Amino acid sequence: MDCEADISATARGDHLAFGRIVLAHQDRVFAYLGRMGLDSAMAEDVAQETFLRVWRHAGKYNSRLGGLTTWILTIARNQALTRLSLPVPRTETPVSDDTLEIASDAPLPDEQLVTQQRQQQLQAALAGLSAADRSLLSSSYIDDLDLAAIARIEGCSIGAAKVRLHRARQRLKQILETDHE
Amino acid sequence: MNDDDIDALLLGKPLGAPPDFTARLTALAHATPQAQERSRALGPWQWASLGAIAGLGALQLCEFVFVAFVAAGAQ
Repeated sequence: MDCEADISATARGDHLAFGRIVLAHQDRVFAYLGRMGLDSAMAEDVAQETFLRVWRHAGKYNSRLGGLTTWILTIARNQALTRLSLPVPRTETPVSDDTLEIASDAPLPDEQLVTQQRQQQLQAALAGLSAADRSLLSSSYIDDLDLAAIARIEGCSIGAAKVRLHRARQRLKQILETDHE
Repeated sequence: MNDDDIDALLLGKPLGAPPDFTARLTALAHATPQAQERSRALGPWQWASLGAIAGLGALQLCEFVFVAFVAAGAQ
């Protein structure tokens, strides 16, 4: 069964069809949120809220306004931007598994260490971009999304998306090069 | 650093969904009511109300025209 049929079935309250939609889109949503700079806990919260909105408002989906992936990523984007705009609570930062790995005395294989350093470098560089630019950059790496779909997610024209994407890449490159020196 | 390096960085090690994510979401959906989409078509009572309002409006207009006509004739 294709996704269009699944979303129609979801609108009629079919939980199995909803499960198929989640399964088909969850990796794209998590990858998108991760590239936007959300940590795994926040990404999970946002992804959960995104899919629950898909469940609640499946009847509002209109295929003439864009594909299902575009609709889901638009919801994810709005949720992520709202979350990122909230003040960060001043609580003790929970220690993630990644942090524990870094803090551990156990030696890491060189390759793993280099990958980890690159990811940290990337996260730091992404933090230098605006949340909207991170979203744009992130959606440009999702398979099957053309520039028109990206523009629809970002709520701008194709031309504006193209220009903003180019500028965001240039800015990211600049930050990464500055950090590298 | 060139474009390929940026692509490699952004594509490397993407965040993935936890293994039980789909099952958890499906369970949550069972406990979450769906939003009731309002029908855009008007119901019979709405049509009747609209008809009554339009009828009253037309009557008042006729009354106004009649009164104006009589008043003009009296002068």
